[in-house]
Amino acid sequence: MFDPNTKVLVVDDFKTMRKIVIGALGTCGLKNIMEADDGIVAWPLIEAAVKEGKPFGLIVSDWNMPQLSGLELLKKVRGSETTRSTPFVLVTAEAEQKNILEAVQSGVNNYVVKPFTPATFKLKIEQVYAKLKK
Amino acid sequence: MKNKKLLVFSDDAPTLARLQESLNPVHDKTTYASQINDAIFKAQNSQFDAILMRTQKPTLKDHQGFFSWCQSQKNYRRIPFIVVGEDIEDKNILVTQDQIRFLPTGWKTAQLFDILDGIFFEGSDAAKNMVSAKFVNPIVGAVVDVIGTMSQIQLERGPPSVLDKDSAKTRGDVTGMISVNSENFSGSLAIVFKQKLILSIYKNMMSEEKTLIDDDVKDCVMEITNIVFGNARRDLNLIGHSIKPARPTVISGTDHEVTHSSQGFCLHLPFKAVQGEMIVELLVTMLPKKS
Repeated sequence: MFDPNTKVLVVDDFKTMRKIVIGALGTCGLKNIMEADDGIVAWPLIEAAVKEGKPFGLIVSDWNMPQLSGLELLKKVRGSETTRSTPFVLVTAEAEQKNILEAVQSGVNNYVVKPFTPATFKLKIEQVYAKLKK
Repeated sequence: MKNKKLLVFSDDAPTLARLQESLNPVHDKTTYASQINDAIFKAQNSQFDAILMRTQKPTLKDHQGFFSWCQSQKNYRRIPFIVVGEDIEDKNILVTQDQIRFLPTGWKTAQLFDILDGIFFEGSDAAKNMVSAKFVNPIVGAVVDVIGTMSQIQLERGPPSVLDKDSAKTRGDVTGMISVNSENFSGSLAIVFKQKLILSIYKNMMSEEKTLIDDDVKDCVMEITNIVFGNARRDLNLIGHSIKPARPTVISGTDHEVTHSSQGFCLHLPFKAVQGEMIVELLVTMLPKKS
């Protein structure tokens, strides 16, 4: 599993879902967590973390956000030399096949469909870690 | 549509199976027949309000066919027919049969429901507002699944009804509201909670107790509305709708009246749990067809 000190960024426009995701990450042993309420807020945080030499080791982002969506944020992350290998998990309430396909093509590591239980979320995070270690 | 009796006749097993799959969850007054003799027997022993048959042009012309038999019967001569088949473009043979609707090859479930609604609700306000079974199951399924998964609170569904929002009032303590718009209709979905139930849901979801509906609880209602809408939208779009993405808002206030963006008839779905009650309402209005 991820090192407990792994720096994690949780991006969601709803405080409720950020709290739920943070709680679920806690069950994975992850406690070093920062929050952002939109993709547009998250991107400068990701860039700043790289400059400080303490990049995020995992990003968990909602899909639908008003200013910069999770998919757009993913594309930015994958498009930058310094962040392109950062593990990225998308959380979505819709999970339409075409959306998932686009996310996979854009390089998402895993996705979680809302509603989810903490156990399902933990499993998805474990899958990401397992794939990284292969 | 609920109390109308429909006879479905298809001698093609995959078509019959697909029709059963589409109709069974929403319409329990449908009778199925896979052979003409069985279809005639069932039609003789019960009076159906409409008949849906899978056939091809030659069968429609065939005087021994089921359609011809129906035309020879006084009680079936003028009832609505829905014809699903592969070779029905040439409508000349049926030009005098104005009670026939066609379901093209490669039909989608939404098209089938539109035709059934058109037949069974023809001319009524309910038809104009698309308050029909096709909306009920995706919404009920999403509400029960979202609340059940995220808060472990099991909701029991009450009987759905159609309310005239010009006169019937719905009241609650906190309401999540979201637009439901497509190219064909526009409206709103309201998820209305009584305080006791939403505080129980919040406690289970967030592992945190609240005694009043504050900003955290309102945010939780918005997120629940967001997820219910997202799940229902996915399922409705799978059967051929194109509902656009939307963002929820929240209205709170003890015993406030729920107001939709437009007036008219709306689908009213009550739910009950040990912890309290909630109501889900959908009000949609058909938009004028684009020429």
